[in-house]
Amino acid sequence: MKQSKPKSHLSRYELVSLIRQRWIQFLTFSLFLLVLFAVINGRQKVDQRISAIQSAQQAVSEKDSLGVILLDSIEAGFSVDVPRWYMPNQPHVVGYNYLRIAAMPPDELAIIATGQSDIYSHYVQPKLYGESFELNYTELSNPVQLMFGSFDLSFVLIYLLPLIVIAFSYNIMSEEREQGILQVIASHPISVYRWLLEKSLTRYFLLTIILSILLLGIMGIAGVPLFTNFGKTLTFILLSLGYVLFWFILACLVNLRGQSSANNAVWLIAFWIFLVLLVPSSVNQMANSLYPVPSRARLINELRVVNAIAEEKADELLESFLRDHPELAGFEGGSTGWKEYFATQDLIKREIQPVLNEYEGKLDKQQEWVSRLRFASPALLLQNAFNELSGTSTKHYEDYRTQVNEFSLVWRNFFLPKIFRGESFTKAMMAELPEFKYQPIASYTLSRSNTLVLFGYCLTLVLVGMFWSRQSHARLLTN
Amino acid sequence: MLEAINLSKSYAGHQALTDLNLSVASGEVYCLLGANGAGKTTTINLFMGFIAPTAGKVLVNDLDVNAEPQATKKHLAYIPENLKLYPNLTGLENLDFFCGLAAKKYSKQELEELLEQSGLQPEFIHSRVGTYSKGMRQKVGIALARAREAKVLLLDEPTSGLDPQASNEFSELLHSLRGKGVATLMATHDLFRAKDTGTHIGIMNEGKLKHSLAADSISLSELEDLYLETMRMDKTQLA
Repeated sequence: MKQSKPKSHLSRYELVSLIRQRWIQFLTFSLFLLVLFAVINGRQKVDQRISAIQSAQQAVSEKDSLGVILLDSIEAGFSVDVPRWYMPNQPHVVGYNYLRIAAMPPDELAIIATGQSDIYSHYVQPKLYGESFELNYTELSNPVQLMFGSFDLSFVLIYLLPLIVIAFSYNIMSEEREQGILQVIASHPISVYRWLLEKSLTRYFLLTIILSILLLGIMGIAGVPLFTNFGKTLTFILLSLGYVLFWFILACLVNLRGQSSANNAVWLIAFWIFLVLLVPSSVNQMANSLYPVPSRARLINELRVVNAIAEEKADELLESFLRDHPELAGFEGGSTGWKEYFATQDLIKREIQPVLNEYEGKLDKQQEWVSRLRFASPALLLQNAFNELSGTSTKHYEDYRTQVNEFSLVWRNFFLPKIFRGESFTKAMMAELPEFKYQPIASYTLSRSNTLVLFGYCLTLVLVGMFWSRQSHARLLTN
Repeated sequence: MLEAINLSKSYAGHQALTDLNLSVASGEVYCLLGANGAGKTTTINLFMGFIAPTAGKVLVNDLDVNAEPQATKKHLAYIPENLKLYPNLTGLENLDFFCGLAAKKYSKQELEELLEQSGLQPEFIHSRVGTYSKGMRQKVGIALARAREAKVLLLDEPTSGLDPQASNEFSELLHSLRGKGVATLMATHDLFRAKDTGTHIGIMNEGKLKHSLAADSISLSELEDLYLETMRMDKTQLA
């Protein structure tokens, strides 16, 4: 017989005992199915997004080739059988028909969270004229409401994983107490809290291994480039494991109350409802109530009114427009109708801008509110971080919109001088057409800070547990 | 080895134990008799350090149980009325696990020998405890007490619900441990077992130790009379 440290066998036998239980096999299989389904779902969405962008780009290439052929024929003096309004030697025709794709390709970890990608466009084709670009682009449903919607990995991890952790740990101590094993354990020279700590760590370690293998394995098989930006992948895994840790510690604290397993389960489900359902939906409702978004009907009505006024004052507006843009003045010829049109567009844009600003201001305020209150629940922290890591946060779409707006201006400014000077569009100019290149946001500081906050919550719960454990010893062993 | 000095315990106004004084020396088996609610289990729980006394002191091997809980448990082995073990582990694995908690490490062969010596049939040693009867689990408990090599043994109605053969084996174990100088405190309802295995007998009622006497100073029938009289007297007083 040898002397050994009291803890030496604890973890091994806890693992052996766990692995032999049917419910753990069932939970692992359930988790596997959930992750698999979420990854397949996310993959399909990302593939559809990529496919839509590729199809649009393919269509642009084909149209460009046709345009080049037509221009070649026109410049060679051949007559072409194309209606006047499709003749590519007119700049306004090219500016309206031979468009560029302003696309926002999915991020490498886009399958994690659908985020705002369900409601925003991933590519647009800014036109020289036609319906206001801002109107086409601006999303008029509330993105906060759609924050928690799709069956993606973030849904599985934020909503369903805590339930699996609860099933894993709701009776982590009460089971032994109810069975009478805890008294036998407590009759040995080992602290009950040390035993609970080791037992919890063993269970947490097992769940961590299962979850990490499932996440990385299934995502890897689904073709997610996990190592392209390893920092992001690591942050995603740390956030997931930190969230599991939070629920584990909470389960241990509930167990320290010394109540029955059923009572523990009810309390933990109550915490789940509060932290995962009530707090996020309350934050959402408060955002809606505090910053209500103006209606789309009002926006369209205002646009129509402004449009009608502008058309009536077209001549007057042209003079005013040329005063504002002297570089375009002094050219004879060209299409007078187009000159007036662009002059009215400027007015429409100026007039509609306050309404758009009001709408977007309210959306910004809603997002700011949600962002500020993300500390109210670990579920909000995670959702916020997952959207950022996936490149599907509101911030990403706002940044994309800014880039598209800038490109829209570049596109317009490329054609306006040619229209005002009455120039023809040439084959050589096709190669000079401005191209859009999306510059993704590289940083993910919010996710990193949310990870730290999440582990801060875990530490706080541990401290509460340490304080509480001093008072609950007798309750645990004799209830 | 075991000593209770003016020990009292109350729960929310209910006096579970009043001014208990008793001591159990090395090689002695002290049997506490009494009806349900007499204070026997409370006494065992106080010696185990599961609960803190309202007044008085509990000493194990001259160490205060409440001041040094881990140190006192090194000297203690405990078998409750219905020993529960991990159902998904085998008898041998359970024994190994609990020995580990007591910082004892045995080889697989030594563990098998301990279980066999405690009366567990060899074919059940590697079966999961979930398939064991109560008696078989108690035998694992006996093996554990032996493996612990504890100087003090606390037993809370250990033979309750056991068949006569298993109870007899249990008595033999107590005799053998007594010979090794182990101090034993046993709470029981079984007057015959108390007379057979005990060196001292205490009769408790309503949280008080009413009688404490040497086992060989009284016959079984006298013990039965004394026990019944103690219970009856208290009922009369209550009425």
